[in-house]
Amino acid sequence: MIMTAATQTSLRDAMYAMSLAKAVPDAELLDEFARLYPKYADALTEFAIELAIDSLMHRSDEEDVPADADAISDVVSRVMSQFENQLFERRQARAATPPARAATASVENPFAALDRQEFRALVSQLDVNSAFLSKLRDRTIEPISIPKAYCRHLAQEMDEDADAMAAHLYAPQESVAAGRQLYKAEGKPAATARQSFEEAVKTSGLSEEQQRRLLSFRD
Amino acid sequence: MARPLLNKNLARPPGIERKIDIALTQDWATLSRRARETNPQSGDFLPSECLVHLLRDAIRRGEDRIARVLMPQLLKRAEANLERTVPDSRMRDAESVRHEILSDLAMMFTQDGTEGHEDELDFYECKFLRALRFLRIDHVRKALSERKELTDLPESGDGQDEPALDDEMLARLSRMASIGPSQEDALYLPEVIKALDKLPPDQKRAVVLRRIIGHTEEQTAKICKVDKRTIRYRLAAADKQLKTMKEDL
Repeated sequence: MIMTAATQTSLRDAMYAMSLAKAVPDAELLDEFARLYPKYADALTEFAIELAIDSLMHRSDEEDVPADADAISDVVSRVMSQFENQLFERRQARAATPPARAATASVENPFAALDRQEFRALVSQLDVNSAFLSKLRDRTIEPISIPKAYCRHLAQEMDEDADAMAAHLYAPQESVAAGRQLYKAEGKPAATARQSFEEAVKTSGLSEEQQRRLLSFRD
Repeated sequence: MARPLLNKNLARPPGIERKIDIALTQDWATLSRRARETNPQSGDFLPSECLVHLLRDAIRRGEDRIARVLMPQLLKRAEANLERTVPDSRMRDAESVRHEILSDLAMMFTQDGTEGHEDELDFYECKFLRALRFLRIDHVRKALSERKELTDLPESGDGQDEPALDDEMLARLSRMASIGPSQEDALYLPEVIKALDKLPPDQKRAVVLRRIIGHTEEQTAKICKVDKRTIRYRLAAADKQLKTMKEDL
């Protein structure tokens, strides 16, 4: 666990981080956290004491699994009911609220800064075609189906951070429309159903060789 | 490809990342079967960290059917852990505390991504049991404090010049903290730890900071904002109480 940013982190997050860092906190860990979060030093010391005693009481770091996968206790049943209700309310609230651009504003589209010429240059560099690259740009490919290896390759070719590229591919489609080279149509682009990576490769008019190479990216 | 974590200070263990990537390519029926596998040695077993990721992903994509299948399995594992760590014998109303913890855990998923809950579940995707440990300690601490079950034992008034009476026992605690208990220690030290947990807060702080966490006497005094002599006194008083308890075992 590497703790680098002390700022803007809540006490809760600091306690989580301490709990994850070591099975039993030691002097070095406590000193490190007190240095990183001087504002919370006292609270973290108290927590470390509880953590140390708890670790001695319950040393196991192994999963506790129920003996019977089908039996559901009253407690779990009640919690599931709460969960279903909350999930329903969340869906209702979402449906009633227009999509908030602000919610996705922090996810940057690495293609947005490219003008038409740069976009075409990237098409050549990646040895794909505009249709396929547009799908990556417009987030019309189901991100879980994109091989991590291809995401890394794309990030490397565009000189981007791999995590930032993955965050872009995972972001909702509505935040894409900021790019300079994107849309000619006057109408507002609507979110479309996402294709799988394989489908996107096979339906973009790529050559056999290009398709074979893209589909060879596997995790 | 697994969705990146929002908390940039965290990273999933590579083994978990690999298992998530594989699970993300599997269909609903396969995931449903794998989620019900209870043998951790089985290749089909999905670690809780994977279940957390799959649940978050399903809820974000509006795949509530998957969420409904995975959530009970995750809750049942958490419940099994809580039945061991917050047993009925530990405190009054332990079942209600376990319920509150499970409820908080489940609600994290419905609040995931909202203000104040942007990345809380990232911790659970990295080390589920240790993240759950924080939630458990936090709830138990609050419950004990609310129900005033932490009754301070009377301070020993004449122990100022007493030597540390049972260094051997506390050395065992310290060793147990770092390498795990020996067979002999495992027999009676859990009782010692419970007694340690019930010491008056000042003594408990001194013993844990000095003997378990491993601070020097000077550092312990500084953290407790007292002088070294007071720390020596508190340790001696704690030793005396723990020794009495050991003799009763």
